[in-house]
Amino acid sequence: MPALQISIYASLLIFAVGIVVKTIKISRMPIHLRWDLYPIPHEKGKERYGGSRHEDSDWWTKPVRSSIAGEVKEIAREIFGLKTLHRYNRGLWYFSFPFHLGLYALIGLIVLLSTGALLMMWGVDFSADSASLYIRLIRFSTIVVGALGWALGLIGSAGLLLTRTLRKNYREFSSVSNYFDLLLLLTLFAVGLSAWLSADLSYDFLRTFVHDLISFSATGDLPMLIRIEISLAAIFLAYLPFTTMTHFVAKFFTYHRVRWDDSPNAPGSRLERDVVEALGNRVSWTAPHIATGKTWSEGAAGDRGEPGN
Amino acid sequence: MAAKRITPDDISRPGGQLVELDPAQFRPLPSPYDKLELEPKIRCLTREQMDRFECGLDGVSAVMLPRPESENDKRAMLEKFLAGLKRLFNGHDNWTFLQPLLLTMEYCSQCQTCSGACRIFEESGEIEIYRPGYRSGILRRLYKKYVKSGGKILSRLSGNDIDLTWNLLARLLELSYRCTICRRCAQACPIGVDNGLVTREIRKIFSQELGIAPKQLHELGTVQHLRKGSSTGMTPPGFLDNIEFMEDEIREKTGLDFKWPIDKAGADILLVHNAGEYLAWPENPEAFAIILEAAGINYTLSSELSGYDGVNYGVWYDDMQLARVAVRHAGIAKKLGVKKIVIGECGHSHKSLTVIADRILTGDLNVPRESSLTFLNEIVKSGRLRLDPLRNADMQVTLHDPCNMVRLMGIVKPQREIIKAVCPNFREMMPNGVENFCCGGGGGFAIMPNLNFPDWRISVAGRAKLRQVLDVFQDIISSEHKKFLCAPCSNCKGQIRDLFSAYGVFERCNILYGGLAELIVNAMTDIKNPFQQWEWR
Repeated sequence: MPALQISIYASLLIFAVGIVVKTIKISRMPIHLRWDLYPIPHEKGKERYGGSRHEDSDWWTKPVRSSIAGEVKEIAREIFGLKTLHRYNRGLWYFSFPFHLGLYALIGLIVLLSTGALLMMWGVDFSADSASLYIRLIRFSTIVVGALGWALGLIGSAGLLLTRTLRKNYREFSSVSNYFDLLLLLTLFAVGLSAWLSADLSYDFLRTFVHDLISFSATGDLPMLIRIEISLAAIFLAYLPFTTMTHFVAKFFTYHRVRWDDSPNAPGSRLERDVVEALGNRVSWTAPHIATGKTWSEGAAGDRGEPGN
Repeated sequence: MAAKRITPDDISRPGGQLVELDPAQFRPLPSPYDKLELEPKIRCLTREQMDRFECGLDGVSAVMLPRPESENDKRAMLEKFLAGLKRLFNGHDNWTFLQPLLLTMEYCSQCQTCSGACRIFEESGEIEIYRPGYRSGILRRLYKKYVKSGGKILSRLSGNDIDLTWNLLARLLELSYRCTICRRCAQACPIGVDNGLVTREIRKIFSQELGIAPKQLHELGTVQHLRKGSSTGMTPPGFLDNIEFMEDEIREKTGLDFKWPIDKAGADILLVHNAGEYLAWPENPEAFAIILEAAGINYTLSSELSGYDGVNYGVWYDDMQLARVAVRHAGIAKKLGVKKIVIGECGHSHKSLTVIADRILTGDLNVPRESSLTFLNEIVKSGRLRLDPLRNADMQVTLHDPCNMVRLMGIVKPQREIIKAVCPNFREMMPNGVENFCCGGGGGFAIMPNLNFPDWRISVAGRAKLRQVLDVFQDIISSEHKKFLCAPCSNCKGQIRDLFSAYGVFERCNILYGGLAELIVNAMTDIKNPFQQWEWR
């Protein structure tokens, strides 16, 4: 099997394992104290202005009016519109939005290529001459979505890279990896766009490559630009889990488990059991007022943690 | 004059202060403070003060960290800091905030969106060291180099190396007291990174490992609160004396003659005020007493050690002290057998006891807690008070949203519903609600009078709030119109008092400030004379 295919299998494996390990590591961190930040979109009827159950007298006696739809709406706005960036940093949004849109489009491209590849595996005629309207629609969508992905990604990453390089505010706080990430993506978008324009306008080469990947069959010869494109994609996939670009994972936790986590500690609840367990941790901080060696519960019961308190 | 550009590397460098503060570079204020000569000065420290205390950040000293006597002392402190840094990123030692902290350390993409949301950075004229990302960038570099495996090599390769020097340590400590932890930056972060939390976590290393914190927060704050009864120094007998005095004052002011319920076992409610109210703004607890008496509420105050002071300064710098104060408050409520604790007009008391301590108080210590704003709103809506809003018609009223109650707890409407019910001339400042600006006294600042720190707090931290207040009343800014800033939070009131005093806002613009309960009592038709005195205090 060609090295190109093996590199894609390997990068997919690294990507999947990396993301899963990262997600598990974050989710297994200990319970933390509440650190709400409003507005919280699941506060039904109050999310619009940032209100909460604390606005209601005896709120603990009333049923929780939680809205999953509110959260879904907010998450969708955030993912597809970069709502927060649009509101607070419009200058950056003009590049970040096409950049992200480009990435989403390329995910769409992979889905469409995979769909085509699967249909090919099942013996469906997927050629440009296919009589099926659906096949032609998928072929056409693949071209449009792919073109948008490469172009938007290229514009966005170039803009972000320029912003980070030219504006002192960004430059002085950027790390080497910030530049490397953008440069890698910029190159990938540029090569992808060139490969499409020069060698694979109908995506037949890429679709065949995906087909061979899915069917575990050796792929044939590919034009040089497409080989470079695939190699870059493999490098990017394998590199991604080790970067801040996995903020798509982190964001779930920063939103759902921190700023939107307003779950009250109800008596007898699982949450209360977790809190009791955490309070059983021994304190190892060593300042004079800290009850070093005692548990958090014992320390909290004293006035400065001295013996006998 | 443009601010001198400072990079993260500069924090380690030896030598004098990193930044010179010049009021001319601060964002200009609106009329009538659009002239530089009306700008209060930030005093320079004296030579003796500079010799004694670290002030190498911006020439301001909030913490009054004594200069170490020897190189050995410095080394010992650096070693302790490093040990604390490692504890901060350990799940057993810092279970309280590890997850949000690590997410912040690992996933910031340096988009600088937080800077635009930070009023201290913006109002200072964009001084680099006040940028939220500057502070957290330093901690991130330290974390990556000294805590993560392979950090020393990777830090060099990534171009984000940092050296933990004495200069860095002393400056970082001060820098952690240049942020009010209002968390506006976190609200603006597209990823959910929380630079406000970073401020608090840096303070924690110093407090929980090195035993260093501003005296007013620790020694005179939480320690005095737990041992003597109140961070004001008020003892239980002193508290009872104050209550007697306020009962007399109510009698004189209103003719109402009643005893305040103290330590009444089995009452429905334990009402806990910030004890600063009893000393600085007694009209606020007096107004509560009048309202609750008129509404026939079965409540009590506590005269037990710490029970009459709802503050919890631990929320700003130390998890253990936070837990101790919260447990003490809950224990008192449990002992009295009340159905709930109602927290007076104090923002950080609200957040610490209701929200943060929710995961500290378990079993029978988990006594329900409620905001006084919610509680007062229920009373106003119930019709149990006879109210005539026209009694407040001689003034224009605006509302300050305390960060702790609003952005960090989601209490937005009750205070507005009350004001609209008792004041016919209400106008909102912009922005408001959960997007409000901090008063500049948050994070413990309002109670920290050290050296020239109050000057900085007024000129830089409080600037955005002053601008908002001036803007909202700009059409009637002259002193012929009575204007009122309602600030339902003791710490905010302390800051606003100092801010208005430094700029002469009452004399020049006739803007007075005060709490919410006073406005309700001022509208009560059963009270003959106006309760709200139009005089500066």
